[in-house]
Parts: sequence; C-alpha cells; structure tokens
Amino acid sequence: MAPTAASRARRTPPSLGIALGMVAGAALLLAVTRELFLLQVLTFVFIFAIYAQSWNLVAHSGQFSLGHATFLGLGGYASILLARNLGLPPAVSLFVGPLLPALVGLGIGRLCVRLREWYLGMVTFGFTAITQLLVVEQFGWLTNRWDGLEAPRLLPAGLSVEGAAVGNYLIGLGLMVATYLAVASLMRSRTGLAFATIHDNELVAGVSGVDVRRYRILAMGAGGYLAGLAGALNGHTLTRHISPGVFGIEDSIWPLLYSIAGGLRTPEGPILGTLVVRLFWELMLRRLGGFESLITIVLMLAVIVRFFPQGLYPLVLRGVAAVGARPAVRR
Amino acid sequence: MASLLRGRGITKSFGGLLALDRVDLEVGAGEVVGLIGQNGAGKTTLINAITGVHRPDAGSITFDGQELTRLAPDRIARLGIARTFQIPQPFPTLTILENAMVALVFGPRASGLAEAEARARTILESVGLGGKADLPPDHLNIVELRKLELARALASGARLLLLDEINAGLTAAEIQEAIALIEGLRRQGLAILMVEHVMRVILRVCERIIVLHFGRKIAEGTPREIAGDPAVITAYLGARRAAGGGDRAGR
Amino acid sequence: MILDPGVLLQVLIWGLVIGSVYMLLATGLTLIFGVMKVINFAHGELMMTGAFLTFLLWHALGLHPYLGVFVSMAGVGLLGIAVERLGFRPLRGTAKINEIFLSIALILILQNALARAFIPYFREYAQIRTPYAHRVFDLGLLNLRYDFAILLGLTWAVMLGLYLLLFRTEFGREMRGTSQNRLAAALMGIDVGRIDTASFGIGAGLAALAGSLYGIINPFSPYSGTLPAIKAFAVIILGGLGSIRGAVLGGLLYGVVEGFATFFLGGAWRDATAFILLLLVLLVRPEGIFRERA
Repeated sequence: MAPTAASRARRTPPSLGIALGMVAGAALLLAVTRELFLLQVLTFVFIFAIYAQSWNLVAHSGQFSLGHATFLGLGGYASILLARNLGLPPAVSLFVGPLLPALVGLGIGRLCVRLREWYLGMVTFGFTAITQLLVVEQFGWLTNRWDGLEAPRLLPAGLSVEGAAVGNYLIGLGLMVATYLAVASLMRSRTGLAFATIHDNELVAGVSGVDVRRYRILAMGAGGYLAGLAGALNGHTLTRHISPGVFGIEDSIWPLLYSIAGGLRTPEGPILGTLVVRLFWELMLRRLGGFESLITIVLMLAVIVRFFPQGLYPLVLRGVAAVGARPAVRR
Repeated sequence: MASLLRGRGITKSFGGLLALDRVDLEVGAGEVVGLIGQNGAGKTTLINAITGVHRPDAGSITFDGQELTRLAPDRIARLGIARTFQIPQPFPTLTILENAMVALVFGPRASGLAEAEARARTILESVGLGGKADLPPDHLNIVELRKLELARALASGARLLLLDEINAGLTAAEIQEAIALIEGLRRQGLAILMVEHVMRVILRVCERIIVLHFGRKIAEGTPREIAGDPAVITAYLGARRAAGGGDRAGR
Repeated sequence: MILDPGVLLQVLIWGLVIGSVYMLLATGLTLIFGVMKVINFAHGELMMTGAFLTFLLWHALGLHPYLGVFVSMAGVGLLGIAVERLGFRPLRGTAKINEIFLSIALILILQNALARAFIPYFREYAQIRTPYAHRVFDLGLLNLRYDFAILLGLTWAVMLGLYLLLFRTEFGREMRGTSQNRLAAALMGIDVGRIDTASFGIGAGLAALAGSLYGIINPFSPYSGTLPAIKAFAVIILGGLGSIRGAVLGGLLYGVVEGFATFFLGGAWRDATAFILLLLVLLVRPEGIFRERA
C-alpha cells in the first residue's frame, strides 16, 4: 500500500488552518449569496460530512461498518424523543441523544470484537435491519411505528425562512468543523496510532502491546456518537421528522461512498467527498431521474476507486502544491 | 540464576496435529537460550504460546511469577515480552518511524508520543534505518525489514526478547553484526529466547540450547553438550549434515 | 388446535419452502466466498433480478413461470459472470476495501436499475401467478399447494444437480480444491480465474431461482431482496463460511424455525428470529457451528 494516508493524518500539524479555511470559505459564500436551495444543500453536506467522518473514524480502526444507519437513526430518534417526551431543549437533546447510539456502538463493538472484513460487514449490515424491526415493532408505542415522529426545531420559532436557513447552515458548519478538529486530533493521538495498528495488523498490534479489544470497541462507540449526532442534527434542522426509513441500506452505504471519494482514513477526506459527491448529485438530478443519478454516482465512484485509490484529497493537495502554495499537510 | 520465564508441560494441538507435547522450558534473567529443531518441530508455536497468540491446551507459562496462559497478547507484551516474526510484519500504512514507536507507546514503557518519537529515531539510527524513518515500510528490503522487526522489539523496553529466525537469508557479514548485537543486548541484561537455523550463531551466543522434535523437547544443554548429543545428531544435526556438509563451527 | 398435527405439518412445509429460498441464497454465497473469499452483498438484489426476469417473461411474453425460471437462472447467471469478470477480477489483490466497495455498490446499482425498469409496469409490488395458484393436493392431514410441491421438487432437483457437479465431476473437484486452498490449486495448474467465474455464475443462478420462488409465494419489489439476503448471511455465519453443508442445513433449519416462530409468536418475530439466532451464535461460537471446510 503506497503513500500512507493514515500516518500522514497523524503527522499533520494542527488542522486549525484547514478548519479556518473551511469557516472562511463558508462565511464568504454566505456573504455572496443567500440562495435558499444552495444553503440547504450545503447544510446537508455539513451534516452528512459529520456522518461520513464517523464512518471514516471507525474505518481507521480497521472496522468497515456496513450498518452505520443504525447509529444515524438511533441518534435521531433518541434526541427527538428526549425533546418531545421529556421536554429537553433540542439544543441539549442534540448532544444527549447520541449517547444511545454510542452505547449501542460499544455493544456492537464488543459483540463483533473478533470479527473482521466480510464477517463484520455482514453482521453490521444485519444490525440495521434488526434495529428497524425493534423500533417499529417492539418500541412502536414510543416511536409511532412507520408514521414516525415530528421533530421539534432546533432554532427558535418565528425566524424568517431565510433566517432559519442561515441558522441551520451555521450550526451545521460549526458542528462539522468541531467534529473535524476532534477527529483530526484523535487520529494524531495515541488512540489514533492504536487504531492505525489495528487497521494494519491486529495480531502484530496485540503482541506490540495494543489492547485491540478496547480500542476496537472504543472506535465503534465514538463512531456511534458522531453518527448519532449527525442523525439528531438532521432531524432537528432539515427533515424535522424521523421515520424508520432512516434505517435503510442506502444510508449505510453513503458514508462509505463519501469517505472513499474524498480519501479514506484522513480527517479531510470525508468532508471533501461529501461535498463533491453531493454537489455532483444535485447537478445530476437536474438532468436525470433519481434512479439514473444514483447509478451514475456509483459508477463515477467506481472510476475514482479504480484510478485514484487514495481518493480526491491527494489530488487537491497536489493542485494546491502546483499553484505554488506550500501543501498544507507536509511538515 | 533466577528464572524469568518458566514453562511447564506446555501442550498445544491443532486438529489432530500435536504441535507441542508437554514442553518444559526456562529462561533466566539475562540468559540467551537457543531453540532449534527442524521445520514443523513447534518452535514458532512455542513462541506463539508464550506471547498469547495461541492459548495452550495444557500446561503453564509464567513470566516473573505471573501466569501468562490466560492473558491476552497485549497484556503479555506490557509485562515485558517482545517478539519478532519469522516473516517480517511491519504495519504497512504507518511510517517506519511510527512502526518503531508503536512498541514504545504501547509496550511496558508506555511512553508519550513525543518521547517515543525521539527514542524511536535513536533506535532506528542504531540499526541503520535512520535515513528512512519517514518512509512507509514498503521502501525496505528484506534485510532492512528484519532490522525494523528487531528495532521494534528493542524499542519496547521488554525484559525478554523472543527472536524468530532473525538471521535467515543474511550474509556472513550481516550475521556477524547480528551476533555482536545479541551479545550487546545480553550485556544490557536482556533475556533472549531465539529460534535459529544458523548453527554458527546458536553455538556462539547461546548459553543453553533446547531442541524440539515433532513438538517434544528431546534435549537441552550447553552448546557443547547439544553438539555431542546422539539423539540430537540423529534428529536434527545429522539430518543437516547428511543434507549438505554440516556446520561444525561450534567445535 | 395449536397442537393439531396437520397444522404443525402445514407450518413445517411452509418453513421448508421459505427455507429453500434461504438455502439457495446461502449456498450461492458460501460457494462464492469459498472460492473467491468475497461476500456478494448484492446477492439479494441478484435474487430480485431473477424474480423480476421470471415475472417479466410471464407477464409480458406469457411464458410459463416454471419454464421462465430456467431462462431467468441462465440470465442472472450470465449477469453474475459479468460482475465477476468486469468487477471483482480487476480488484483482486488490491485493498480489501475496494472489494467491499464494489460488493456494496452493486446493491445500489441493481436496486435502482430494477426500480427504474419496474416503474412502467407497477406502482409498488408484483407477484408471479402460476396457473396452479389455487390448487392443492388433499393429503388427508394437510393440504399441500401445487406450487409448494413443485417449488420443493424444483429446488431439490437443482440442488441435486449442484451436488453432482461438485462431487462427481472433474470440474467440481477443481472447484472444491480451489475453495480449500487457492494457491495450491493454482500451482497445480487449475485455472482459478475460470473457477471464480463459474462459482459466481452458479451462485447468481441459484439466487435467481430463489428469487423466482420468492416471487411465486410473495409479492415483491426491487427492495425485497435485502431481508432474505441478511438472513442468508446469518445462515452462512451459523453454518460456517465456505461450508456448503452448513448453508444447506442452516438454510432449511432457519426457514423451519422462522415458520414456527411466526406461527407461535406472531409475525413481528418472523424477521427477528434471524438476528436473535445470530447474536446467540456470535456470543457463544463466533466461528460458526460447522467449521469452514478444512
């Protein structure tokens, strides 16, 4: 495996510069346009970049989850139920709710701690379906079954449509950047190093003293929290509603596609990937139907996988370098 | 000499194959013990049993008085046992430096990242890999990969090193280097259990040699005793001699 | 009433029929995994492609469903061959995540292609209607639907054919050899690439049969393959990845357990059965009940 994306992430100097760049770019855009549709698309990108970041963090520990929608959906349900039934302000439930998928993540991590690759994929894939089943059937009295639940809005009522869109945009941006900084520093830390060794070779990681079990479970728990945060944020801002449809296969596949497109196991990759794929998707939808667009997107990703196995982020870096600026990630 | 590692009746089978059959062994603090035997004699299985990769079916292994057989590999490593692999197994997506840091950070020393980085650089310099520290390991040839394996084991701060054929495929000069290195480690007080096919190395650096044959310990003694043991000659050295000239360097 | 032997027998038959779907899926998955060390996550979608083909042949061309099944098996088998040749083969030897990507991406491609093709015909669900839809054998204790009898016979005929292919022909021997040790097989001169293609084609063909069977007893949509596929994953994990015996016994057993769970515990538990079983096995015996063929 050639250049080491993962270890480069570890050696990257504090990602503050990149974070500031993202904030500056987003603010600039806001100064230029208030076009509602664009703001909504970008808010979506911010929220799902958090979701992809979560998937990518778990992948950094060598665990390819194919059931991430479990966490996304549980975070949304937990936060919305806390806000509706216990009267918690959404600004609080947004952060408390994801503790549920974090716990579930720890449980799944524990249960699957000896499984890898295809085994892990099959089992996590199945978890989404069982969660949907539990939410609809066994907890139907709480979740209103297939009809789902209205979600209280995060922003105060009485804002103008534009004000709400700008508010959601800024909240999404803030949480995405915060998540980015948290994940980037985690990847550079001792814990990140442990994740990377487990990704590369569990056996050697173990005999080198890395507590493989603990770190694998930890990665799933952290991934559960972040994915849940994205789910809750999505529910309280964009969709304002949640239904069991959230536990679908597609929502488990997207973060994988975003991360692969941007660059696996780097903290920048998921953000770039979500942005590029999503914008492309919106452009496609203007010309094609949903089915055709989806197929085209997947084929486009296949091309990326085939010709740019490290994703698009290294290309961006090379572009930046070519323009003459010092690449941001090299020391 | 107080024994650091003590194995009693270590038994392990895979399916119908008895890979280790009631093996006893002892390695004292600061002692260098050789482990020899033909392919399939159970040498690597024994190392796997000590490091927790395989749990023995029966028997006990203690390190500094602590029972190892129920511990996970990482616990055993943190107690102070490091190993190399017969086929070098670097972490492919880490740099060479990071490869060497892992054992420092997660081994018995439990160093912080910054300290680990500094120490790892020093150790890589000392084995001659300093110039490649920031490259991924696919830039190394087989000899350098062996050196990296060794650097990782040394970096850990372990009290017992398990070296699995670190000399295979090396030139005479490189073997000389390895001998000097092992003698240096012994002077620092490290205990070493080494699997080795190069008899010249074994006879030169080991104080005691254990001979395995189809999972059983058939002899144990000083290099001189082993070289003269008829059972060993038949089972192992004899086979070698018959195969091609033999290696009489120990005489 | 509940313990009426006729009723129990009826439930058993139903379990065996639905178990045949799982058995066919699981057998294909485990055959492919044994040879290629790849899990085809889109197996449920191949299955629905098969159901859709049989449906289309019957609905648009008037072909008898029990003849259409064979055309559908051949068609989806060819599709499987194309997937192996154009998809998995170029990725062999690259990072594992690439194979996982392809396997999962195929779900989206097939689901959306099917949905796209479906829309002109239906709003949501379709079902294949055979000429025997309302006919039953009266066997005294139970009434056996013609369709059930034919489907069971058809499934077992195909499974017998697979058995003969695997255990009575030179090609089958090579296939089993590759499954046991790919490298050794290649060194002995077996064209493992050809074995890959064949195993994927056969696996896809079996999925098409499973889909057609499903489509005769249930209404279906392009998204109906997911749950049966997840159950088949549970079956092959229970049965041991790569074990055909595990897939056959596991699939049937699973169908029967599901049938009785539904009957005694109610419909909500039908789909939960798989996961409860799977969780139990993961806790107790993560390597599966049968070992992978050594």
